[in-house]
Amino acid sequence: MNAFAAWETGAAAGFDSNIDRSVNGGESDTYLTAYASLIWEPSGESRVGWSGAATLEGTSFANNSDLNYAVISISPGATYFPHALWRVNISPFFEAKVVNDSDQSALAFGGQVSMRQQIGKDFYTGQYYIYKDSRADVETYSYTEHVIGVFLGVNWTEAVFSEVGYEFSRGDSFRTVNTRSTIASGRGKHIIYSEAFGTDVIREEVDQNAIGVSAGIDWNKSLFSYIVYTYTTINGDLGSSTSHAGSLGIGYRF
Amino acid sequence: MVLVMVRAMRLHRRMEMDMVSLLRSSSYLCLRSKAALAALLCLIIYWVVPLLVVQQAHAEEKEGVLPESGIRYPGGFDPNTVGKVEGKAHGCFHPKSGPVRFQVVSGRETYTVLVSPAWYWKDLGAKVSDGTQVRVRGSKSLGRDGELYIIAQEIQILPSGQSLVFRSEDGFPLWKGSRRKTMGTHRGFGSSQRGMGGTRGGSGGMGRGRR
Repeated sequence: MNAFAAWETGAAAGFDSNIDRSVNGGESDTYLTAYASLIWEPSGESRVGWSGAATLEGTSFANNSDLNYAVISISPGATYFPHALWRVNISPFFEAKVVNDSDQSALAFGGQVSMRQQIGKDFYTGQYYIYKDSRADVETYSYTEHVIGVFLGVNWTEAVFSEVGYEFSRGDSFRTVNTRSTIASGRGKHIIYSEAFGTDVIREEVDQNAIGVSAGIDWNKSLFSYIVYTYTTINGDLGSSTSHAGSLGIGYRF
Repeated sequence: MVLVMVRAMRLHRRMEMDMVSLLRSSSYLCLRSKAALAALLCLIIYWVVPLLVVQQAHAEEKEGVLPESGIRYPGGFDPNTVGKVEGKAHGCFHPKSGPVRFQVVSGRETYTVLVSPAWYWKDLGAKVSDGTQVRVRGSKSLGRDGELYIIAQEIQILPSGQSLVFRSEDGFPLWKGSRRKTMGTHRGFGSSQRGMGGTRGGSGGMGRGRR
């Protein structure tokens, strides 16, 4: 098996209309994030190769600095090409996240299987499954989840592309509520008062649906930029909540 | 009065015990976090760093030169030297490692065409038998053995009209897969608040977990 490695760095500015995952509307915030990654990709000299990434990232929020975090993630994996136009990646991953609100600091592990198919010169599709188990310092913020997603991409030119995707996930999620009277007791629910959100936080099992669109430009072999928008709905016993999230980013591959 | 004092002392004692319990709990959490971070650091030092060094070394090896020509493969493609060659092919060779190659006689010149790994060539259904008329677009260079080489970007097999593309416009080898990050890989979707490396990085997906 073989691979080649490359460094990548980048930054993005983004927003989220519901950073506290509130069932009562939620608070919005904007953020800046920066990252550096060491990425290894298969050389393609054989059907099987190594792939993966090690990433260090920091994010700072404009209003709620309690949510500022740094995260290091490692995802070594393998890539298999069943056909020239079909790629399969399998990788476990490990993640350590330190959040200003230390209750939310967590260690996580999981695994991912993803596939990508090139359809002609201009179109491609993909599917992925992710399992993640995140264990936070405070149980309310711990979760396990199963995620499946699909996406379709179009290469408008050699340099310009766009994608649209759908994702469904089932698992635990923390959610914020304005009053304890709305909290129903139940199995697996953990309640805590959060200084960071200034309200009660409860963990429950939810279903999440997300639709996203993105577009990007490869300015040259190294420099690229992208814009992403995602609309998400979360449904659980506490009710439904929605969020609009987007980011504008730029990156450089060495 | 005595009863009130006793109750006050009990309350005070209970508060002290609660405080001790809270402090112990905080210390435990703090210790647990530090232990976890230390474990992660060890993981990085003992496992990831050596792995990356090996990968870097291997990358250099894979970006090595072809022994007979001195041409870098697969990275020797130069967009500034792209041209076309048309002629009859012969001597198609599928090595166990390195690129599939064949020769094209074009007028008085003979080019060695360097294509792709054998598995990619096979998957595209490419068949070039001796005498087949082909048109090759690619990066031309002169090998240190004095022979002419062309690193193929596109090959047209003229009798059948079949067109096979091996590299992008800027010469990126398509058998490596896309260099673009998609939703299912690293760039991902969604808010920075939705975990797994935030706006990018990590293991993909739009929702990116629940922190």
